[in-house]
Amino acid sequence: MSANSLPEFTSPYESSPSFGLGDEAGRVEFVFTEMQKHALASLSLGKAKQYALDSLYATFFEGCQAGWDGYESSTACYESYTRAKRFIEALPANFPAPEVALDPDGEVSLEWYAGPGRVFAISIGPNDELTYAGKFSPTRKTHGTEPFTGQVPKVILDHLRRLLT
Amino acid sequence: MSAEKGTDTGILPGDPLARFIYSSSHFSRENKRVKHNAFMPAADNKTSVYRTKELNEAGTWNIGGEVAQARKQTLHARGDIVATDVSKAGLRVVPSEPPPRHANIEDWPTEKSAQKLKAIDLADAAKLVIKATP
Repeated sequence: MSANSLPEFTSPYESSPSFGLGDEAGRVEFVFTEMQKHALASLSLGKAKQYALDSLYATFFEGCQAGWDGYESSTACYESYTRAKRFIEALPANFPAPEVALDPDGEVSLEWYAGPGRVFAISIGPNDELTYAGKFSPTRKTHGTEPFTGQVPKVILDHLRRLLT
Repeated sequence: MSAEKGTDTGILPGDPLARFIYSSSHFSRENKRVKHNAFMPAADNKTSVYRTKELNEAGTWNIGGEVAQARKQTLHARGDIVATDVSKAGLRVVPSEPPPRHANIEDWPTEKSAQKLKAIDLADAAKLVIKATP
């Protein structure tokens, strides 16, 4: 395989990218180092969670660049990133791993998609607050907030069960 | 005011709107869908869209492409909705020119969880159109 055919992002552990991100560079470097330290531990998480963690890193990295979404949104929030990582790791093994995205305020968003019109999403704030919203059918919807103490709140797990069954 | 009668802004219920997507995390190629994050409002509590009525595909992409060029971003895709999708979500489309055809989705609630729910409704209604790579 030639260097030209390599994907833009393969794994957060393979190389040390440096994009000169100014104030964000230090934080990104810190994240990179942290991810390296946890690389071996992550292997035991299972493929789905590992994929989610890789996606989290890639999404955070993209969000560290100013203007990352073309709409002058806030850059990715590092505190939200670290909490999102803990959230994914704390998710019980029998729950599917979420898709990762960033909100315009820089918070990490995790989303579970169960088909058209069936979505549950949370955003993880830097102050350990989980902001969630779910749509289970055109008329069955929910939204609210829950504290994150290192364990996935029961309310969130109940909503995920409701989505996935 | 009913959705059928349009809005006081001159935008008709069936008028198409495009939300251009510059973040690879705001859509799913696998599920061919726009994620709700693409429609979440900015700090000014508005979501920027473009009115694409009577534009062909090339003309529509040109708008997003010009923004991408000006901001040095990669245009990945767009989410197509119609004005009535916005009113069904309890939101409002308000023209905001310049630039030409620009509008904002407004009247978002202040509570973030309520914003997410409305953004989910918009994403649910949106059709993902991925930009073909040259």
